[in-house]
Amino acid sequence: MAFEFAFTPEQRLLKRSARQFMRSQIEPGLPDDDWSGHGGDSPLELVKRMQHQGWFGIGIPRALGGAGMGEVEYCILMEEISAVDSSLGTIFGAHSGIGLMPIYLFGNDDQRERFVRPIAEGRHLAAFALTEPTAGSDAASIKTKAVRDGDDWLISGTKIWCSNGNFADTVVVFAVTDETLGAHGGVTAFIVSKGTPGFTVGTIEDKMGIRQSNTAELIFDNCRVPKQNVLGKVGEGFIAALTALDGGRVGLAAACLGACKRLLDDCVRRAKDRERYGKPLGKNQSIQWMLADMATDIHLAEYAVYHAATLTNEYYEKIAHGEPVPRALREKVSRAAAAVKIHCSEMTGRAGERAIQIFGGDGLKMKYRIDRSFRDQVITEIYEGTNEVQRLIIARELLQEGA
Amino acid sequence: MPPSGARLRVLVPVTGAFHGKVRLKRNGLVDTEGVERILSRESAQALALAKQLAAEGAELVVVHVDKGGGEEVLREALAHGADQGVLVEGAEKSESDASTRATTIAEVYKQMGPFDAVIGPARSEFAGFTGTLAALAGQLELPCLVGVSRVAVDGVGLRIAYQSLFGDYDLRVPRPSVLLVGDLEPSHPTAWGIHDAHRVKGILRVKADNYTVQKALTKRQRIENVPQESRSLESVDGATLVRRLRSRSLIAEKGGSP
Amino acid sequence: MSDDLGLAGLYATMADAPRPAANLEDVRGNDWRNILVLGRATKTGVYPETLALVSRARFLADELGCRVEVLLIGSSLDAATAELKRYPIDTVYRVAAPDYAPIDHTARILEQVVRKRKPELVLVFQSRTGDAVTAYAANRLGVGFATGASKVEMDTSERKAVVTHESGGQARFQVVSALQVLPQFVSVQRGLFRAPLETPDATVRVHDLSVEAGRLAPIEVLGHKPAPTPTLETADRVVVAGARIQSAAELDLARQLAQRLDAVFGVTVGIVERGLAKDEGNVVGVHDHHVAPRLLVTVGVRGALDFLEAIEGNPLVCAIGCEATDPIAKRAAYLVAGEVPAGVASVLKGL
Repeated sequence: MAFEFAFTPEQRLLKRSARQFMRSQIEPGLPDDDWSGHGGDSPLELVKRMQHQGWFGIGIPRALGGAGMGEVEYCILMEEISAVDSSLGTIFGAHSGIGLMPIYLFGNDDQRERFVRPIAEGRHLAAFALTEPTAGSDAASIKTKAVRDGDDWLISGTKIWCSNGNFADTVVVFAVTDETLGAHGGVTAFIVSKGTPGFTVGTIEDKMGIRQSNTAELIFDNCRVPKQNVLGKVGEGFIAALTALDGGRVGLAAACLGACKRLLDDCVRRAKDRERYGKPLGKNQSIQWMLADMATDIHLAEYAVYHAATLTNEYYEKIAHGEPVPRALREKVSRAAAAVKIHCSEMTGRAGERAIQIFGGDGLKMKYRIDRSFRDQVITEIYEGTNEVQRLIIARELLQEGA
Repeated sequence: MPPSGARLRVLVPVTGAFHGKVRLKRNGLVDTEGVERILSRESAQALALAKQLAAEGAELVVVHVDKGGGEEVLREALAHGADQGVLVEGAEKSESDASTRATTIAEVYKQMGPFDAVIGPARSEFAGFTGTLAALAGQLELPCLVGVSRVAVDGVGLRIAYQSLFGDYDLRVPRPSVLLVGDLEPSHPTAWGIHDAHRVKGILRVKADNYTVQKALTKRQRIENVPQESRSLESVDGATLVRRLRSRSLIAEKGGSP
Repeated sequence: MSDDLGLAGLYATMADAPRPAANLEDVRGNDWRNILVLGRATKTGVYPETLALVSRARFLADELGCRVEVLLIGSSLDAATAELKRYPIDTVYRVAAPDYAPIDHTARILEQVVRKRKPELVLVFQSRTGDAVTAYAANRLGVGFATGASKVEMDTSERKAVVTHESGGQARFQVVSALQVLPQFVSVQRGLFRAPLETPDATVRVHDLSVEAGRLAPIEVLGHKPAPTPTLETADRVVVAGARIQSAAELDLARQLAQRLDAVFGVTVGIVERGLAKDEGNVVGVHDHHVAPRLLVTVGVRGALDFLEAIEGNPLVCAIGCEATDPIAKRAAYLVAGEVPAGVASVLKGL
């Protein structure tokens, strides 16, 4: 029996049309120079055009205004968007993967109607606020607090590294609601709308990479949120965060895959284009090996990413429909997500170094955008959980299995 | 004349294109195995034009004469926002040419009409579809305009923007007319459209035998590889170059327009 | 820019169209004979493509032993007629109409002329309108047609046209088909044939015909804007200056050449990086503009792959001011070797 692993006609069309749209409608609108100006000025006009394509609610059912697809299709879009620009990939991932998805998965019907529909219809953008100055990889140590005040909650604290934070209409905020219970039981997720009194945007980070994605500090000062905005049950916020981050990691891996494929295309063209010592660069075995290594990495990553996406899709469908999730499936998803996140982010790092070597001095010029890929890649080994933490997740699973 | 007050209806004949490398087999047949068949770029342009009328409430009916892989071509057209798809199946079994395709589409037009416009691609593989749609106009005795980039309802007619060497014109044309698209940014399917095209919208399947009422008037003799150009580089002086270019109609004769 | 032959221009002048001078006579008998070329007039003569078709028609007619006839449709055809009289044509038919009729109108004139004069082969040069006129007329006569032929031959025993179509895109194969019913309508790609030699003793008969094209669709002109300037991507003719150019004066010569050829002017990455030309949004290269002209003239271009890969379609490449060993020579059909100034000057002189 053959091992079937191929896109459906619908997925092929989505991939092809996303590629055409990104390369013909979005790429020409991106600046050649991403270095000038303040990192964090996102090209929102371009984002709006992408929203109108129905991509920003890709995994949300048609009945809620989404495109009625799933995690594989989300990864297809992540790949094609990031092949053109990693900043746009970050905006899309922060919105769809970790901003929107927990509201859809853990929200009640009222929340889905109030928050998911405008997002899925391409009218609103979402963000995810978990990290704090003293809680990065150690997300369980968050200090932002939420206390009850009648029918409302008052949130106080500061979140950092919030992608889309400056312009998101809807933010999922994680806060401690019971210090005695720790992460599991003591953290609750809240849906906070832009403009809510007590919610302000602080510093916008000026970064060396993904400069056109907006990375903001969010400040909550007795921000009053009605109890209707508690996402899921009180005390179950950490599960929502971890669940969203699993899918987010797979999406990030797909983004790395797209960026890496684009780098390989550029390098192949360069190897044919550039002549040295009377022959194209690609005639040199050293260059051929670099290209072959990149292609091998990509080949393996592609299967792994879409396998992880398929697992995540199964996992999310069960949650969305209120079905019990087998522990084995949850663990499989976490492990696969961690693995592809590590592999793909590090693969992109290797590809960036090789691309600079193949391009030589031109690789440092902004015109060829190799420098940008190189700078954009750095964060992929850090956000959505550092690669070191991902290795801990995998090791923990391995040792549990061994026991 | 369309019934007054009825929803405007537009027929959009679409063509497919190969997505990937097509080779010729030793037996003279085209090897398309594993090559995806997709909506042609020109058809996406035609849909972009037709969607201008859809924005005014028109119903878009896409029709595709299938020569293999046609369902995906038609579903892609539906993904662009067309309301209904008609797939003429089995055309690959009989010899066909632009005339027979025109007859087939004319039959679809008559049986599924009335329509207020036929909007189609102006080029396709082998540059055949312009001819097909003009032949359709000839059969249906409809006005035919090539190079249309904008269309809107204008009373009982249509107001179109038309591109030609003489410039861009705004014209009022009667309904129905056959409009072949000009240089226009192709439409892009949305994720919503892709979903609906594959999971919601149905396709009306008709047999080509019932629609093809005419024999092919051109007969395919063979398919062959394009011979490698044997032309060697010719070293010339300036005057010779100019003569060569004029003889190939690539530049103007003295005093003439190119 | 559209390669359309124009429709709307005629509506503005429809009212002033001169009356036809004579009625069209039927050819007696049932034989379909002769080759009819649908010509296209300019203000000063005919389009080069018309002459190229006359050349092919003459060749085929000599094989078949028949006549070459040209049909001109328009409002001001004297210059075109005068030019055609210098070439090996038997008869020119002229039908008075606005500059170039709309598809249905032109096609009906063509249909009527074909019904009366009974040519066995009708040749039209390809454009979107040319294809449409061919198909419309053929269909009204109930006969087949072929559009966009890359080759036209005649099976002289059967007197059937055998046409070849090259596939578009990446596929490199061609389909050969034969028309089955007379008269045969073929639109032919441009740039395939040479214009015929002028024939000093040519005796070309000219007939002005009266043709009833039937009722015109009620089309009204609401507005008009002049044609947009072609861009590097859309131009039929492109001249590109490259890094072998040594000075601003040489660069200016390349610009002059572009102007004389009515071509769009571009530069390579190489000459911009050398600082001789500025990037004015006209750099041709993989990361900049791609070009897909019918004619590409390079001036002082060596042919880096960045440039070569930005060339789409199958243009005729003429390389001026480079050497036969340069990469561009592998793509070029014609080479004017040597230094740029001498090469460009000799071409300018020839123009």
